[in-house]
Amino acid sequence: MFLSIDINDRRAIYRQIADGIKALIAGGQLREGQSLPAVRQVAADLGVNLNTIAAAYRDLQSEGLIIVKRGLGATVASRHKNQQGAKHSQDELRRPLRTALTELVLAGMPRGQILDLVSDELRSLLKGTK
Amino acid sequence: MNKPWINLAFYIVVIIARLSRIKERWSAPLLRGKDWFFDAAVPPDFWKGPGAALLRNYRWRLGIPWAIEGGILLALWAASRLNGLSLAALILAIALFTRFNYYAARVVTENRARAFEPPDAIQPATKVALSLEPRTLWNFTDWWVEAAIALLFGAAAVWMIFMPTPDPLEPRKFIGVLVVNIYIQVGLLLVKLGIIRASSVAPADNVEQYLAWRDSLRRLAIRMCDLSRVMFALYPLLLLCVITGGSARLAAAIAFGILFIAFFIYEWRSRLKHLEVARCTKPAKFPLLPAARNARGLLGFWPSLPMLLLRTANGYALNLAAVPVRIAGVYFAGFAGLCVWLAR
Repeated sequence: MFLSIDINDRRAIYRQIADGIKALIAGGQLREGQSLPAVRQVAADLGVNLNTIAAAYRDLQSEGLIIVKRGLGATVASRHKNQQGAKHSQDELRRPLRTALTELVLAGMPRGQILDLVSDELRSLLKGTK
Repeated sequence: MNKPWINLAFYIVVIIARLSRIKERWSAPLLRGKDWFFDAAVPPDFWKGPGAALLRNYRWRLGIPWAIEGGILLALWAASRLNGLSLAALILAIALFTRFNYYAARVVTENRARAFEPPDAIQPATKVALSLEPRTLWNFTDWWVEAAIALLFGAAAVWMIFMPTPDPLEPRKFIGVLVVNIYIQVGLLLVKLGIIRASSVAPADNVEQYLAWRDSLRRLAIRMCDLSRVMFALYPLLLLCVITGGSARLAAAIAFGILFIAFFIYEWRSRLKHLEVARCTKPAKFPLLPAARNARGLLGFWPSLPMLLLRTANGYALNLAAVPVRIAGVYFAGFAGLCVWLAR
């Protein structure tokens, strides 16, 4: 299971890490209770400051996707709890989707192509889920 | 078998054990064939001109430790100081120097070869990937090795308690040997931890093969580290055999020789397997970190970066701000303190 980082990406590295782990959780490659590498390990692998990785882990923790225990590392949190939390914030979840769709419409992409794109992305995201 | 013969036999075994590494390092620049000089992609006409000279230069450099070792051996022999202890110290020092010398020869000649690299041969990877498998000391612990080490220490302690040696080894001195040995074990465990935590990132277009090579290298280094720990753990027991003298000494020499040869064969086979993986893996270039772009020399101080070694434009630089450097400093200071305390 790999996490990709693009140096030319406009997003900050910590954001790419958080998004990458989120995608792996959503896709089922990272399952509930599975351990994540220590902050020090990821920082040494990428050659970045410890705080960069710690910020990504903090973001994931605040979203309830991982549990960080001091000295024991980080593990993937229960999806069930997250789904319960998500019910209360449908609008919040819709907002980034709307932003992304707006970008696609503004780029001149026809409706059919946008639907195909969304469908492809969703399929590749959910590849690992049961 | 008297002592000088044991020393000579030990030295010959060590020389034989080094042969596989000599062969490997001799042909290391050509590991991936004629299109490469180590990790530098070279043009087809490279070997007719500058390549041959660079290869010669690299191989000459490999001979430096041998010349130094020969000189020291002659000096020790002339001064009648050629004994087991001086020989062991020489072997250890030369082993460390040989490794350092190899890396230095590699970095220097590889950097020169890069001047001939076609501009589009290897583009620095802008997209990288890393494994999310946690790497901890626990995950890389071989419990058979740990059991063997505990057994060897236990056997030595039991021997010392229930079968006293005919002196001159006092129990206090033997405890000193055990304490030093345990301290060395801790040091080797720290080295193992460093190997486990060493950076492991791959270019996104060749992730699986590249990470397989990194993993193979990591496992080989860990295996060698564990074997060294077992060999060190054997020392107190061997010492007791040597002190007891007579048939125990001969038995110890034979057992040590057999174990050494078995370890040597095991190491050789493991290394050949790793070289197979290394041969198929295309080298990758990674962009230099902003902090290391203007670095000069072999040392630097980058408190914001966790790595021990940073890749610079000319090779590698040791990050003096890294946690392992501080741990190593404390470890060696502790070792010096322990030696002083034991000498009293």
